Amino acid sequence: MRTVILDGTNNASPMSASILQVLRQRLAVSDEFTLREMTIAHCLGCFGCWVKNPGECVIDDAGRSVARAVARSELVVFLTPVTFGGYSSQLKKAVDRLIPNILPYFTTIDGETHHLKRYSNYANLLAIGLQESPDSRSDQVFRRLVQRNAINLHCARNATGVIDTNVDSTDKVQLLIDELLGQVGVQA
Amino acid sequence: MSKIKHALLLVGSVRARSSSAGLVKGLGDLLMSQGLTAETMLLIPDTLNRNWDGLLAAWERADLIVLSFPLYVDSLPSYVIRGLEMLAGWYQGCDTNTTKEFAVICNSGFPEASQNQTALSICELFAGQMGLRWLGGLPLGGGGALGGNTPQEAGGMMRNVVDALKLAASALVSGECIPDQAVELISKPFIPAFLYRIVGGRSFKQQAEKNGVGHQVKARPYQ
Repeated sequence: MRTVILDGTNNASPMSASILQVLRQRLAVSDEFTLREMTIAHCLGCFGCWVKNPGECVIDDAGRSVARAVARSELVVFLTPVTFGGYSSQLKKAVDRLIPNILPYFTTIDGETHHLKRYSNYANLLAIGLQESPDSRSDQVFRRLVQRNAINLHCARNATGVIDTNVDSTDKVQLLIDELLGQVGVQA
Repeated sequence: MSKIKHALLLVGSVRARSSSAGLVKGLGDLLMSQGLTAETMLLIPDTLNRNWDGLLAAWERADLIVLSFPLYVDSLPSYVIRGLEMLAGWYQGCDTNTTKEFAVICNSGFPEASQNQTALSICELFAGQMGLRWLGGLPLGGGGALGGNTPQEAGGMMRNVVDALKLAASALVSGECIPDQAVELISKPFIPAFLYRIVGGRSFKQQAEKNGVGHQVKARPYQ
């Protein structure tokens, strides 16, 4: 399963390194983006990717590479510290820049307004959030955010895991990742 | 007597004439009509990179902070999240025992105000982490219809939004939570969703045609 990893962590850590290693072992990773090392401008909300340069951001930087890789993938992995229940700004920069991959026109999904697909196929979504210690409210909001993103980004399947970095062991992390991969259709 | 004297209105949009700015100005005008002083700052990359000290000084002056932002992919724009990260980092090293009040307005390009809920929850969690007193959030669907105007200027179909802001302002000046009635009012669709979808789609098509790419809107450059 062609996989793109968006590493939205703010710095390298033994836990994130361990997670990435497990993912590389389990998946055919076509692109791994360490977002903090990349020059990706914030989305300007200009709609240029819809009405000036359809399908591609008007900003010519690494954000285009990420959007291109995601559009061509079968699985996208978000790795991020859980930040006020959401994504880090590093990850969110890349996610905001995925808007070219959908159309400006609207449709409804379960009675709710969303944007139409631009492409025939979209990747499934696996999100792994990191928090230092258990925080049920942040965990809950994070999971809801991923579910909402999966709708808007037309991901047929999605899975979310939250790892408590001061609590969870490496073995537990491996088991969790295998479980999550199963949820998005990756066989062990 | 309320301890709320001065409000900081943060606009989390990089657009020149944004609905986020119009909404918070509309609220700000109401706050000032009830005796508060207010100042407005942009919570955008330029501020974070070049006027961080100015932002912190404004933050410290304020008793009430209102953040207004557009919904980007179910959440806050990345530069607003960056601003909140920086504020949280500053707060951790800060020696303050002054509790400030925090409220937000989120506007979305989708007609359903409910789609803003996750973003509001994120703001609430930020408030908790910062030791701010959370006074609630106002979710507006179809916010693009404001076109940079305040709801008061837009009039007509924005009357529910105006009424919601009035209720919210009355609560906020007293340090009280935004009432449910204000949330219900602002959440009411001002046109039917199906009509919004039609008008919105046509608007994008027209913009594309004006830019000479009307026939390319459905291009697939990454296929």
